[in-house]
Amino acid sequence: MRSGYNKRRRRLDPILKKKTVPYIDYKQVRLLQKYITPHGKMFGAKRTGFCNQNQRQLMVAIKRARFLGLLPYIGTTVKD
Amino acid sequence: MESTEKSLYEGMFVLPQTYVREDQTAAFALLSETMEKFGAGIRYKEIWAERPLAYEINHVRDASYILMYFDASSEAIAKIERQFRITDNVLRVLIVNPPKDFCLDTFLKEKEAQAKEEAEASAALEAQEEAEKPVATEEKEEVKA
Repeated sequence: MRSGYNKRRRRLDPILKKKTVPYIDYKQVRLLQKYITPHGKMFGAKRTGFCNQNQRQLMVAIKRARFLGLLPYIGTTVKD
Repeated sequence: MESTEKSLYEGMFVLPQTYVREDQTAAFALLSETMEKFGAGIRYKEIWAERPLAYEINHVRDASYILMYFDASSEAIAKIERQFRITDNVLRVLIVNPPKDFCLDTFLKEKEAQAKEEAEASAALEAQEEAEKPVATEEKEEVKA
């Protein structure tokens, strides 16, 4: 019988795993575009697989990028 | 009481692309004059990108992003932001603390190395083109003859 809680192993944090990006910055638009839906909404930590710290960095970075017009608040993303 | 301690800040300025393309020096002067007025010392400035905005701001669709690193006191930051908010031709201003691991000197060194590489690559390309040119003209002459 399956237990009541989710036993699925959590994915490894992609940023920590690769160690290519020292921190998530609002200027890394291509990276940020991976973590928003076509409508411009952010993905949650469950979907991104980020640790708490990196998810928070991502949130701040996306909000800053939106303010500067690098990412949309709503609607489709602009292609380079 | 005003504190005189200055720390490093990162500023991103969004200006209309047409305005920056018309007169780049005037655009930089507009920013640097205001910064100097409030006692900020600019350490680094560049046009970070020219790209279409994700949404229209003040009926402007394309923008130039100017990145700056500067030293300023915390009191000056509020004044600078306020000043830019009421300045024409400045669509958005974002002034933030650089990340913890950020070191401006290493950043500048990296930029220098990048510029060198680019210069070398462009020089090599030019040399290649020049080497190819005479061959092309000779061929043409042969055809004519």
